[in-house]
Amino acid sequence: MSGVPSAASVVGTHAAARRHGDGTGTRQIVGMIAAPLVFAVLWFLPTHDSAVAQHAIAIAALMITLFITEAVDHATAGLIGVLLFWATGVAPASEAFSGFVGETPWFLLGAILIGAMAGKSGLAHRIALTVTARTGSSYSRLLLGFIVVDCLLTFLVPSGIARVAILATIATGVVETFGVEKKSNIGRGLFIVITYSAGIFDKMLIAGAASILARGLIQDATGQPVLYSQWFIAYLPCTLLTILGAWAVILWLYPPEAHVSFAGDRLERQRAALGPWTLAEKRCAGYLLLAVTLWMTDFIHHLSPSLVGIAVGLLAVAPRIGVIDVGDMKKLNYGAIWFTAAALTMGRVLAKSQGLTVLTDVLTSWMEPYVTGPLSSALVLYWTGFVYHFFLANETAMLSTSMPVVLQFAQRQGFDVLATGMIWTFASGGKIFVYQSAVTIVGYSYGYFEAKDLLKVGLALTVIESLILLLLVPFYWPLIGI
Amino acid sequence: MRGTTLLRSALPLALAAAVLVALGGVHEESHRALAVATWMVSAWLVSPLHPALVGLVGCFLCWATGAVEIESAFGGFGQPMPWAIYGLLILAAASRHSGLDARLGRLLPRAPGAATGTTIALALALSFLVPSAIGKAFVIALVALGAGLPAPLLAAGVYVATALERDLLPPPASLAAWAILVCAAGAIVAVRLRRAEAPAGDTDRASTIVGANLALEWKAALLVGATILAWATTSWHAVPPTMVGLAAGLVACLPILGPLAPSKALSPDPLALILAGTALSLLVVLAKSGAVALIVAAAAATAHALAGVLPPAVATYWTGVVYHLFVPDPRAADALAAIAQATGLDPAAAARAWGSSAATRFALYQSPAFVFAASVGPLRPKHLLLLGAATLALGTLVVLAA
Repeated sequence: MSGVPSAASVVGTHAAARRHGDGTGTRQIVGMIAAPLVFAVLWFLPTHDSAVAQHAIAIAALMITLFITEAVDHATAGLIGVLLFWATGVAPASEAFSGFVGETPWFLLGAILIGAMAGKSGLAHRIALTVTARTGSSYSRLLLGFIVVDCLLTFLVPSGIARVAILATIATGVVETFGVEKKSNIGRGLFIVITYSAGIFDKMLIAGAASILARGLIQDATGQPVLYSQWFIAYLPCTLLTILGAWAVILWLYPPEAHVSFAGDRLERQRAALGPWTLAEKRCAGYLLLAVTLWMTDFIHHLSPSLVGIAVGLLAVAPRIGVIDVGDMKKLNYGAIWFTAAALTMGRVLAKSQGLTVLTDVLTSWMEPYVTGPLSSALVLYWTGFVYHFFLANETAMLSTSMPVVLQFAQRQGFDVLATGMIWTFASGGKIFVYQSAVTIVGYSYGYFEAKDLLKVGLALTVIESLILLLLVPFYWPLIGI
Repeated sequence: MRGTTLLRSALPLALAAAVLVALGGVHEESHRALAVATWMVSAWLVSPLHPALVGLVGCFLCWATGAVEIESAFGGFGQPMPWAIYGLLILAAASRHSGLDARLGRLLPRAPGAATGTTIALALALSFLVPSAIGKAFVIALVALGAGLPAPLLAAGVYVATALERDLLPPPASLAAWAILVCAAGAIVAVRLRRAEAPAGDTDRASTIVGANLALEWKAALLVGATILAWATTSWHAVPPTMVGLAAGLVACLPILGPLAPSKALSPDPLALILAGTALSLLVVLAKSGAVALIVAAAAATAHALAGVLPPAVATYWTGVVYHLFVPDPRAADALAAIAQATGLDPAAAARAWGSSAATRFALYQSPAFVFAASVGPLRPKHLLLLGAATLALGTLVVLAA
């Protein structure tokens, strides 16, 4: 995968586009000034009758400011919050670090280990190449193939960035085979659909960091288990409609250039060059099959999805029978895990200190008149989440900071908390600006599409997604008990 | 070689199975927890698996077998210690990045004998200045890495510093004897091992990095100085050393203020944190599942049997050493009382022997300070094992003499 920019380098370049002499970006300086300022003001501002709640709000505000400005990386910002909760006496150590002991961060570790296994074994690449080679005899069919593969890879590779990197290597070859320019309609269409799909499908499955975090927050709020199969079935129609919708939108906005022919045998040759299945691929396929089977049947055996995820993740790293080794394990993105845990802590401390009620009042008071039934609730929640995502570029940061507030709002209004949480999670998939997610930044960095392309496709697909929700929430979800 | 690896992998499983058979099956949560704990401890001691992986698998099994809830199985991560290690790993990275460690390392003498003596003396001095074991390990590791000291000397320095914890050995006379003992053990092992090994660390590094970026070095020096000062004055302000460690690490990576440049990739060894967290989780699991009561009962029975053939103090010491392999917590008053009763030793003598046994360690998981030092420097498990064996041998003599 030479030539593929690493996520860290791309995000780093993006976040600190304007750097000062010592390497500090303008946003970082703004964050370093704004975060303590916000903290100091809210620490003394009487936002709540209880001093503990007031201080919890001040610390949460500092964390959110650091998340928004990206003054420090998200894991560091999360740990700063955890430390402050503990050091200021807002929460005892056991509560301040409570986010690290639940299922969610360890499920995420399992998912990351599974993703590393799929990537290292080459299975993800083989599947991507096989499906696109089988489907692609024209631009239209190839496009559909890429969307389907993106969707399928979500089961295997939880990281959206990794999915983009895998598919981009194939798409680069496809664009060359067509003999067109990078920014041709074919190039734009393929890359934008790969990029955008990678950020949508992992909200319809408990697979990526965002949905795993959302599941944990919903479980925290309701005390009820959220099943993998339930989430999958709830979004299955949406998954299918999104595949068709994305296909139609790209064909409409980016029709292939005239007089372009496709040498489809190139993909077939690449696939053939992979040779027979390696032992690592077979093992990986076996473990993934086991995981997916157990996840899909959790309504029968009631094994926690986290338990399955961690077990298969540990199998992946087991000596002799695994696929990855301790060296690979060291290179994983643990920051995402620590950040997720810190975000869970923030929600718990806010809820326990009653600080959450203040935030709920502030953030949701305007929504109340508009959420009168399932139809309007779905629309209002989805679009509010969509707009909120403008201000908090990172999906997991967006969910961690807003989800506890939204869930409490739902509880207070007597709404179904699970449904509300699922809609809010889904809303984090809608994006129209490149900065809104590391996945879009990575896709954009290949240079095949421009910001305005993402704006067009993003808007069209966001509208389609909200229309799909309008069908799902009031008509389909009640049928499956949500 | 392959046979040895197989044996090292199979032994922990066999021991866990033996524990289950002895306990009569898997009916009780405490039985399952003890079987998993046996596997974890023996795998940490002998298995070729990475200790962090052993810890993760063990914690997972505690949860998956129903011995405890996940909140207890991974309960060690809900304590501040792993996060203090995380913070100190960042601070250590910042110190190395700035060249501060190399400047501090220049303070150590170059001659092998003098370096050994100075390192042991530094460890001894730190024991009275810094109450936190991880704090002491941080200082020694920083200086040792900066000076490019050989791995055995780093191990000996950290071992001596962590063996002399203020609250571990109550009577001052015993503390003095113990101090002489561990210093002797440390020096013997360091001198014997360093003959066989080449110096670890880059000895040319100091000449290129010291003074290369003075502003950065000053930032690091101020932060490290403030951290050590905060540790040394813990009894005044009562801020936990773990809080100081985490805070120092987080300040180190703040833009503008910290000595780590924002563009610098920051990735403290995640496996160190995982090992520390899972080792602490083991204590939570044993306590929550009730398995610790089984261990105390077994320890008391063993001590009683040993006391029939050995002096009671030695029986207490040896039993304590084995007990602390499972429960690496020096504050085990219940166990001490049970064993003192079983051996018939007077409480003061039992406390001395027990404190010595808590400080006789053999493996990384037994102290977060070892985990930290192994993550930043070349602290090797075999060196710890030798240090533990030397301490055990000398400790037996000291306990006998007392």
